[in-house]
Parts: sequence; structure tokens; C-alpha cells
Amino acid sequence: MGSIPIRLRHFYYPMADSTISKVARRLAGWRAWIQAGFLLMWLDPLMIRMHSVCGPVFHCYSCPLATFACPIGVLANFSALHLFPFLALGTLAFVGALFGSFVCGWACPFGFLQDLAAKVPTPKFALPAWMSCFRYGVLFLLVLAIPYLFGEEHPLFFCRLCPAGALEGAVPHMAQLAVAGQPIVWPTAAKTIVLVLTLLAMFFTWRPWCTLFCPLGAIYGLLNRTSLLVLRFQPSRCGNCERCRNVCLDGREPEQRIDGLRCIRCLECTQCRAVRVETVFSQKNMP
Amino acid sequence: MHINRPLTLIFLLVAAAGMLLYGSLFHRIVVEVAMQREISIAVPNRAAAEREDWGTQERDGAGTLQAGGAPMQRPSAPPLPDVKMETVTETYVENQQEYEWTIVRETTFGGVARLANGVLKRTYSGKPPALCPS
Repeated sequence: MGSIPIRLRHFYYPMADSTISKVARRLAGWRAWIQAGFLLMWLDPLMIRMHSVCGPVFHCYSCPLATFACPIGVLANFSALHLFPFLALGTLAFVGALFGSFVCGWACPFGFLQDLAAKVPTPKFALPAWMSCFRYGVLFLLVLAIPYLFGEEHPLFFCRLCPAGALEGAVPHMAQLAVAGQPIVWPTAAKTIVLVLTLLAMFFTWRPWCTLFCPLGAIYGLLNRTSLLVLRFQPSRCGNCERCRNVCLDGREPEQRIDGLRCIRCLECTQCRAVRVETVFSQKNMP
Repeated sequence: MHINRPLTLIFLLVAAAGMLLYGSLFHRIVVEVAMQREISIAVPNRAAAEREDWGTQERDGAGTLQAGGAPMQRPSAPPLPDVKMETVTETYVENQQEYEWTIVRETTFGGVARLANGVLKRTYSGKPPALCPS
């Protein structure tokens, strides 16, 4: 193996790729376009506001162009009302069980915004892996516990801090008021600060909101291990080229932590033949 | 800890389908709604009441004597109804059972709030607000 050039090693292994892997590898280059396509879906192209239906992505229902209800907003509000959110949890469980955090990497409009911001050629800094635990703190405290104990009027109620709500709901609302010549209603100071910091961080680190605070990504990350579609790393096919590390947008080591809690399944690592997309029912023993 | 992924996936899908089915078809939530209705009520006719008092004074012998001793003749008034009907708006509270997807939609604009006694109450009457209060 040592005499074979690194770039050709992949071609010297049995290429028993599944159909799903082949399709996934081809789609990886089109991820931005697919994200844009999903964005149209969330922006209510037919002007039918179906806010009775929970969407599976992080998109504020106060946005003038929101098709569905935000699942995190519904969870937080139902927690404040002391009601069990069957529809919201059922939607998240169903979508998460099928796709896991593919939703984060391919469908979420807020994630798409962060991906676009990351393309700006600014210095990028990696966030420590342990900081992704903050997401579970946000989920448990700001989405569930505080609304349940103190109601939706509490300043730490999640929707009162959410940057997606500020960007997609408050900013268009202020623009509407300005155009109509009415006094502008500004969001709270806390919400404004969170939005400004998130927008700034998008240009200097990859997906800061998803990595640090997104409660929806926290839920989908938990379901990565048990979703229908999974990513698998085949050590026997690894040529130690470290190509997967170079292409991983999260700066992770896919060969060690593939499909983990933070993985958004962007499929960039599938450029390496050692990484495959399979169904959870696949029992093939790879060489 | 080894996780049996296929079984876990099947369990998740079945649980998700069950929650969606129950939440959309069977889960009903009681919400207190302030309703308004117009009713007609009988209001005592003040003029008729005054005329009754006037007649009462007559019966009590308070009539004035004319010169020569004959009692003064009062002019007769046209008869008035004792009561008159007025239409007023009455506000009352009604408990309505709403589906969960209705409550999902109403939470998007803060249409439902929880009172201190645990009762859920609709926060608006008539046209719902356009934006979430947060």
C-alpha cells in the first residue's frame, strides 16, 4: 500500500458503494442549491400560512413569510401553558428519526444563512467541542423549564431571545412600520444583542448558533445515532490521507467522531470513499 | 452501551406516528373564551313611574280645591307603557374545547394565556393579533 500514491489509494479498494452513498456523494456538491430550494418552501410561496402545522426547521412563525409554525416556539409556548405538545414532538421525532441532523445541514434556513456568511473570506476560528453542550442547556432551561415555571412573560423565555425571531420577525415588522410611517417598535435589548452577536460570529466561525445554542439541533443531534440514514466510517478503507478532516466544515475528525451530536451531515466527508451513507438496517460487512 | 438502532428507529417512528395521530384528532384543550351577545331587557319607563306617583298623590286626597269648593279637574294624559325594551351587549365566559392544532396556531400570536388558577384563556376577542408578543 505504501507504493501506491495517496490520491489513487481509494481506487484500489473494492468499490461496493451502495446506491444511497452514490446519490449522497453526488448531492453533496449541490447542498447550497438544495438549501435554497428548501428556503422557498419555508417562505410561504403560495401565501398559505399553515401555522397550525409544526415545521421541522428553525424558522420563526412571526416572519411575514413563514409557512409553518416554529417547533421550538411551539415547545416553549406549550411548556408555558402546561400542555404536552404532541404535534410538535411527533413532528420532531418523525423527521429526526428519518433524517437526523440532515435537516440542519440541508433544510434549515438559519443554517443556510450561516453557511452563506461563512463563505465570506474572513479569519475563521474553531469552537471547542465541549461548548456544544450549551445547546442542551438552552433546550432544557430556556425552552422547557423557565417557560413552565415562570410563563412566557419571563425575559428568558426563549422566543424573547431568539435571533431567528429577531431577524425574521422583528426586523421585517420594523421595516413595515417604517414604510407605513408609524412609530417603530424595537425588539428588547437582550434580543438585539443576541442577534448582533450571532450575526457577527457567523463571519468568524462556522455555524456559531448551531454549534453553541440551537435547541433544535440539539434534538436532531441526539437522533443521529438512531435515524434511518446514518454515516459510517470504514477504517479498512481509510488510507490515512486525512482528506476527510480537511473537508469537514466543522473541523472535526470524521474518522473518529463521524455522525456525532454536532454533525450536521453536510456530506462533505463522503468525498472520501471510506465514508458511506447507509440505512440503519444495512448489515453489510465491509472489507 | 450498545443501542439496537433498527429497533430504536422503529420505536421512534411508531411513537411519532402515535403522537401525531393523537395530537391532530383526539387531543382537545379547554379554553375559556369571552363571548358577547345582544339581549333585550325590560327597562322601567321613568315617565310612567312618575305618572303613577302623580296618580298616587291624587288618591291620597291631595287635590286642590277650586273656588266654591269643587275639586280641580286635571287634564287626562295619554297612556304610556310601564316598561320599555332596550338592547344591551352582555359579556359572558364560555368554555370551548379546541383541537391541539388550533392551539398551536394561536400560540404563534399569543392568542392563549394561562391564568394563575391554571385555566387557559383566549387573550383576544374578534380579530386575532397579527404578531407574536415576544
